[in-house]
Amino acid sequence: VSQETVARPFQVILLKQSFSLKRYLCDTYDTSHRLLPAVGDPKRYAVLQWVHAAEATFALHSISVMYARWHQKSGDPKETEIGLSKNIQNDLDFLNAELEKSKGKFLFGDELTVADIQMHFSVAFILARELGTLGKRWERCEKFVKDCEATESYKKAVEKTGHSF
Amino acid sequence: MLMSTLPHQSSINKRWSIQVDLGTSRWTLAYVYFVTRLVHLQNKPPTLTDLESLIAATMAPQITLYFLQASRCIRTAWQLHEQGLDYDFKFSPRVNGLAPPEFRKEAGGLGKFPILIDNGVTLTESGNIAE
Repeated sequence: VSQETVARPFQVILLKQSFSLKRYLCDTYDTSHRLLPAVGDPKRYAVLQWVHAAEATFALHSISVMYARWHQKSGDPKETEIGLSKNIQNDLDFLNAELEKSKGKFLFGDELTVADIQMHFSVAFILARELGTLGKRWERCEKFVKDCEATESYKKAVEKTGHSF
Repeated sequence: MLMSTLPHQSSINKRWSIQVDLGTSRWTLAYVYFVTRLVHLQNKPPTLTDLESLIAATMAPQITLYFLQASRCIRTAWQLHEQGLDYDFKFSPRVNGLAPPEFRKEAGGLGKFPILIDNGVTLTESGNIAE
């Protein structure tokens, strides 16, 4: 940012609106890269792996069970769920093992990242609705959910929004 | 930190220089602009009341979150709190397990939540908003 930019602040606003809408809250407001490491830092891509896995793997696999429960009109929905559960159980086994490797409460130690924020909902949802879990437990995943929900920022978000499963 | 003189280089405001913290650029730039205009128009520095009015105006949340109950919206709300960002939110419960049509219509787009509006820019998909 040069003095030219300081002299004409409205240009800054216009420029911002032409930015790619990706990387929004972190790129716009987390300039110290606390929640998402900077471009080029290898840790950034390790964190983004979980941001994408939360939807493209964990949510995709588990929501298919929910839809089967809602919409399957013939055949045995329980048999369908058993078939679909294989992916979900693999996902949770993997997450459980990765959390065991962490040196702290969260995926990358004791410091929260967007990986935890994105993964928390997917895992909490699977465990709360017992989507494909078939009675099996993943203790490290359960502890991860509790640790996420014990953060001050999560508690404030629930208090303000009234979020509930 | 950057030492920067105000834009209009008149003799009076040459005496005024401001430390600009680029990490808080939005409000800093608003402040610089405000001070510049005031000095330029009134030929005098702003009073404390002027600055208090500016702070009150700029501290109002510019972020609005459309929040559907029992959904991914908690991710975005959690991140906003984690980053210390103030926001307004529009809440809707689910009706028969779904987002009510009027709420989807008001939010626009595909009618999937969360939807975050910041400074007139509309964002969807919680992972996209997160980044």
